[in-house]
Amino acid sequence: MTNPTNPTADAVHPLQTQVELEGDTLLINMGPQHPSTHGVLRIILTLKGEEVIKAEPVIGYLHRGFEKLAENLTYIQIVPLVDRMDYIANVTNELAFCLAIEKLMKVEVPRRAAYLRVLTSELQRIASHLVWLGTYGLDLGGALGGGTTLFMYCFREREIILDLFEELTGARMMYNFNQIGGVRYQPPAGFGLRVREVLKKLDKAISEYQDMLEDNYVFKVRTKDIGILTPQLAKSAGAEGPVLRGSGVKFDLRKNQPYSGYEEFKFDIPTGQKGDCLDRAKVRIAEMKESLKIVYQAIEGLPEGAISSRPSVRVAAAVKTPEGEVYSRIESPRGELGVYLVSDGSAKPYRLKWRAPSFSNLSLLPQLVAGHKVADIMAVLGSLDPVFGEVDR
Amino acid sequence: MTKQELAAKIKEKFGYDGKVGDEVELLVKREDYRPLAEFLKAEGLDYYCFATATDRKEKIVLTTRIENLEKQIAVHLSCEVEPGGKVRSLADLYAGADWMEREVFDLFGIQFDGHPDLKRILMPEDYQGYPLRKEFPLDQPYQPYR
Repeated sequence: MTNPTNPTADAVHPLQTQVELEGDTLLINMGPQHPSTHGVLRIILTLKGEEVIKAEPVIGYLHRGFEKLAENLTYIQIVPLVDRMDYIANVTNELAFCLAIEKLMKVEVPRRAAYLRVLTSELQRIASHLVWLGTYGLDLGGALGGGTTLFMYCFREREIILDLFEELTGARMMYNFNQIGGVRYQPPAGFGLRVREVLKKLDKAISEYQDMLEDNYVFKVRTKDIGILTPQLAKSAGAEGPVLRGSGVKFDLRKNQPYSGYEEFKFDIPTGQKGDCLDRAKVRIAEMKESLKIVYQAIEGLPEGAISSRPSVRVAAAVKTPEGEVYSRIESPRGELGVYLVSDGSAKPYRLKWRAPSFSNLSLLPQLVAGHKVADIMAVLGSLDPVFGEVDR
Repeated sequence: MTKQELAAKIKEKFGYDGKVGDEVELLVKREDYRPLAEFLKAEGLDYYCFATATDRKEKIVLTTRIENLEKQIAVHLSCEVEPGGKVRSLADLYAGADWMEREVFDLFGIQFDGHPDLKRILMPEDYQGYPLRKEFPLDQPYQPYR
């Protein structure tokens, strides 16, 4: 019977999901406002009791049309915009974009600028992994020291890194620190001293968390043998970063295809064996320790000199790239962050593809959670560490 | 195997001259796109990096990057498609092609033949038009929000 006051009320909206009951399976909706989805992710779940039969992620809630927008902006205007892609690791986005343009324009970067880029990237990696560790503790419902304890610890440590960034760039996030041809700011007097202090604090803190993690029975039960990712599937899905290395594939762009002077630094690439959530977590914790080593070497060996090789220009439209296409990539905290740039010789990109690691990693979720319990979805999702600014672009 | 050897093999088997730079760049006919991907997978290029497209006004160029991480060989496999045209999907060869091809379909309107679940991924399901085409205006609200 139609509703007399609102005749359209009975019409099925095209976006309305049809709930189907087949035997004893149940179709339910999770998100997009779920507290553990780290942003806005909707998952359509088919459940049989507590067991997940099928999971279908729905993304796009944070889509801002970055790639279209970039086609209408000059290269210099895009740099602050890419800060907003992966908003937990801002400086690595700028670096990826600037490296792509420098590769196309064949611009050399001064050695001091390259070192500062390494220094900021690695500090950013630690800050980003700390956010992951804190929120992962929350996701697992207090598996690490109860409730919000680890979350607060990690944000306390992240804050001292953000203080360093504030001192260097004037901003806590969205730095706009890299520019085409180098970096924007010289480190202030006494910066190296304060970096060393922070490194000492972080080293102690990260070791503590490592002990908390590796001796914690609840954490191990929640993550061991959950969401096992085989190296074959990881490669065929284009997974990367800690997700790929957790499955035992020793591939890190900082070592395999060094950029920005990474070949001068000594560090190891931690890998897992099994590819479960525990391995991915261990890889990230170990990576933080390796990053500390790199930051220390960068601040010890920081060369003197200029920080930018690009002559200053009066208008942004004066920066033009030669015609052609280029693919340039870096190892962001989440994995291989690639920039595919097609230029027609003007001051604006003809096409800019942002190859986001979170997008590829998240696409593995249906395969990883199938057969596990509902509560394991968040353990798996957290171990993939997606950032939705980057997934949806 | 090196990039040059791979390019020579492709030349021998398919007749395409790949441009060897940082990657092997190939522009192939549409019917050779899928057989070449199968060939590359058999040659050990098991890592699916991304798929994207570039609107060249009358043609849309679809580009897929496939690589081998250990040997550091990457191939940019491209083919030209007319707007709204069909290409054979790689989703059964590479797991990553599932979402990447959905994204290309969503933003460029290229159809993928044999894709398990081809629907919009970033834009809303009821959205009309393909935003990354050059004809799509940025300065006016688009259907159905006009």
